[in-house]
Amino acid sequence: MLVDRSKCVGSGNCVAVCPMGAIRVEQDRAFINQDECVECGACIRFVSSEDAPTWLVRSARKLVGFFNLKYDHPLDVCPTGALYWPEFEWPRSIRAQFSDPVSVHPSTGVTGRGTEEIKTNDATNRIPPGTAGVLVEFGRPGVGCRFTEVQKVTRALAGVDDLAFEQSNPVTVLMTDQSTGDLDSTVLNEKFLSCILETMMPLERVPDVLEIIKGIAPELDTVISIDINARCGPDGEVPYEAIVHEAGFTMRPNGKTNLGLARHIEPQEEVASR
Amino acid sequence: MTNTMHRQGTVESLQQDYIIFSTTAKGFNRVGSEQAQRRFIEIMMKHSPVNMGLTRHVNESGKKPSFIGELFRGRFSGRKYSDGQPTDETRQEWERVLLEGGDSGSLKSHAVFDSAEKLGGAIRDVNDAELGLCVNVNAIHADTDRLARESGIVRHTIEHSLGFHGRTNLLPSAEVLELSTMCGHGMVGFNLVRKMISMVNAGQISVDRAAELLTKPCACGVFNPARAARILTDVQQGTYAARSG
Repeated sequence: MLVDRSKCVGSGNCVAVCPMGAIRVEQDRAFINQDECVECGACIRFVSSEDAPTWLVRSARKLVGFFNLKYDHPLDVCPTGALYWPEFEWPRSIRAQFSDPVSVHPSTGVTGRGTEEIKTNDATNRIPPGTAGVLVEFGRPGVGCRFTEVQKVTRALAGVDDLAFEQSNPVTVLMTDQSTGDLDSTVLNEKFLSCILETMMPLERVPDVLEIIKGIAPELDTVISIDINARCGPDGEVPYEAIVHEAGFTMRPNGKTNLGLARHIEPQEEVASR
Repeated sequence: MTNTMHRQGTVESLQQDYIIFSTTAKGFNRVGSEQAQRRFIEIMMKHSPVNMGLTRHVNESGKKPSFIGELFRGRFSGRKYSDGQPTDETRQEWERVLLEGGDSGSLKSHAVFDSAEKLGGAIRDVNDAELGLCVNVNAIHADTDRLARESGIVRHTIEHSLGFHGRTNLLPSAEVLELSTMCGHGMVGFNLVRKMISMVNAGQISVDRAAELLTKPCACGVFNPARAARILTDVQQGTYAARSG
């Protein structure tokens, strides 16, 4: 994100909304630290633009100031519309793809962080009985991360027998070698708000994977969130409950459930691609 | 919708926070699903959600308020929500989005409810409608299981959060985290939450307006303004710590 400094009147409304704390006001103009900015767009979506003429806003402020008064713009307004998206070039473009929830990943054609996990499992049976998915979410919640940290985990997990990286996941697409977990070296220093590494494995392999993640987590220069998913038993049983407890993890009381309302859907012919 | 995972808070607080969403799988139930998606949204609206969203709709985008209008509009009070509930104007906007989103064939849609009863009604009606969509719920698992069984549904696939790891010292206080994690994409940053709490505590802004402002950056519409208003009220009245144990 960039600031048109000829327009900016230093209202400061974009400062607090930046999840990375990358915006500050200096000499009545906003300044964005480009190394910290993850191109998420939170600022430009939060501060609706009034597109007021800069000279008018400055004059009005001076006039009000003359009477020893102060006029602050509403918190979610940029009076002059000074923020704007630049054209992104590789590898900076990867920041928006992973951080802006409405940006589309060119590799997968989907928005958000591009995970499939359990959402459509009732139709696809992508996670069949006896298997589990383990997801590692880097930089979440609210801390941000660089791909150097992601590579530490992909390298650690790459050697695990029977573990598969989800092929349609944008992080997997960044791997130059899935057998080693190496990522494209040009993206390693790029920062993003959060991304999700998605893996699949037989249920009996879950303890090994959780042990590896537990071991490497203290070496990461960020926060990670961990998810586990699986197909339920015939009466809705959770198949990994004992495994997770034995591995020393605690399951949160809340999470996601696929109700299975599409479980009897028959595959369609590929008549359209969306 | 991995963005609905990892919502923080006590069980009591999470019992004001139920998300249901529909989606489709390419090659299975995507082609021709537009009418089913539209019907899903209609059912959701019938049960009074506190927030809604569509994949192809970005909440709050493109608004250009007038300079003069901004001078006179309410700055202290909320406008889109009252007591954490959407105003009639907000509901009308959702209806407009529903039509536009339905016409454009939105691939996903969702609703946020602030009570188990509302979610239970929504699950029952969606099940009865036999839409053929993939429907997921993010909530307290015990509640989801109970409400699904009341509609004759045995859950199919399940996902649990195993919590936060790594440099957890970078995480903020519990109330900030509880509010911020209601947008799993991280659009509701820690600093914005801190600012809203500070302004509410200083009497510079109402709880409604603060909840509304916290809802705005969440482009998908999974943030729960009703729950946010309750948390902010607890913080303001000094009862948050007691409630969060």
